[in-house]
Amino acid sequence: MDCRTARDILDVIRPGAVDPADAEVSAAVAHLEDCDDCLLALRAHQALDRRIGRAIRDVPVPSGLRERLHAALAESAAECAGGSAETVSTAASNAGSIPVGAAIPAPSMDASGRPRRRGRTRGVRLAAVAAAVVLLVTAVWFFNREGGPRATLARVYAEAPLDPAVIEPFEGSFDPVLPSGGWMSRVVIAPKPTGSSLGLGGEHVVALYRFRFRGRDGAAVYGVLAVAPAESIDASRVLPSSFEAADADYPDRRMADGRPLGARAWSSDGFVYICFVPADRLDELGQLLDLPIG
Amino acid sequence: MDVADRSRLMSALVDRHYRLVYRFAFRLTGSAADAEDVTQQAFLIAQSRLEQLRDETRAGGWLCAIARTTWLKTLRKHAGELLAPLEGTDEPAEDPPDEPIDGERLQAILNEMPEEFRTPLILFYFDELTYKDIAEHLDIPLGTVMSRLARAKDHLRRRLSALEAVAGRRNRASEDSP
Repeated sequence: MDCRTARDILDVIRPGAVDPADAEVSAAVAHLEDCDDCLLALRAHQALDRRIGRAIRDVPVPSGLRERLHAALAESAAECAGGSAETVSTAASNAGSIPVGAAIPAPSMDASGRPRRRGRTRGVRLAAVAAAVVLLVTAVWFFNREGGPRATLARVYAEAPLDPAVIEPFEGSFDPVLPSGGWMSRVVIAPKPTGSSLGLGGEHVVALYRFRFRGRDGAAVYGVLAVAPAESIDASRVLPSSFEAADADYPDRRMADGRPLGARAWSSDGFVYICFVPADRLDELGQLLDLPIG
Repeated sequence: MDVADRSRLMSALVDRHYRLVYRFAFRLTGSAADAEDVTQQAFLIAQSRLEQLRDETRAGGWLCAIARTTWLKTLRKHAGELLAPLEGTDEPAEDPPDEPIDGERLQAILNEMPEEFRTPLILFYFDELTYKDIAEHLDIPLGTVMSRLARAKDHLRRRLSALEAVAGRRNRASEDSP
């Protein structure tokens, strides 16, 4: 066996975990007996591996995590036993996937470290449903035959479906691209969008991504991000190039608990983005995205 | 397995492995908040699929594999394309000092790696799975695991050594300055 092969094999085997029944491994070990260069190189690598291993495992575990996990599991088990279709148990039965078009599974604990209570779960669900209901009032116009805008921003505000129960996989003629910046790293976005023709019939005009982020109070805040090609939306005004507080809109839609819905629209990279969250969370989202707050 | 048995087993799994799963998730995601969410989802999924756990001695690796799947599902499908390839890294320093490695520096390097390299690497250093276990849990061929693991380790060592060499030079320069 040559040096390169022997080093490659031995490098991925932890010391003490050598399987003598493995012919290749045995040959690599035998190579070490005759090759001081490989032996020294392997020892150096193992020394560095020990340091790396210590550093990788050195992660502080949040206090109360174990208790929160027990509480979440107990709640989920109780819900399953009772035949309830809680979001969390649904997520569990789906092997961790976020169902296409469904709400992002709610975390079973709040960020302040307390086990989530059913009241909060119900509140979050209601909020998500309300957000969905609120979004149902937005409007869009189809493209005309000359290729003009197919929908107005107002129609998006009025008709975009926000109800997590409304699951319609996106089927449009464009490939939606998510915005850059903090959207990539600071919010959790569902991997696949739903779609809507905004009541105009035909193919989907907008792609809708559900997302969540942690509010300042530690609660999960849910929202919807609509994406459409810029040429297909008549905004009737110049849109900013990023999520800006000063450009907030307040569609005439409300959450189930009566809180108004807030929205922001911007245009970048050939797309129009419309973000829907509870109005009182708009600024928090802006701060989270590390963008100027008006 | 009846309900009570399942409950007892899940409780035991949490008590025994929650630290491992959280730490693994943290290194995978690079974020405490995401790590906690992933950890919770992983245990919830494990609870719903408990019958798939045939060997309790391998539960740690099984839970980590679930956590990894959970995390991948939350990533955007193109996220990996934004990550740096594993080529073209700096040359390693000759003799790395035997000092603790800076955790943030380490995490930054992990974050640079495409997920298919990062996951086996983290699993390897957590001492939880052999490369054969990794291949089984990640459902990829053994040769692929060995290749990815070798490349990822090589990349990590080189990047760490290069960064430590730079840090060492800075320290020496500050010590030499009046």
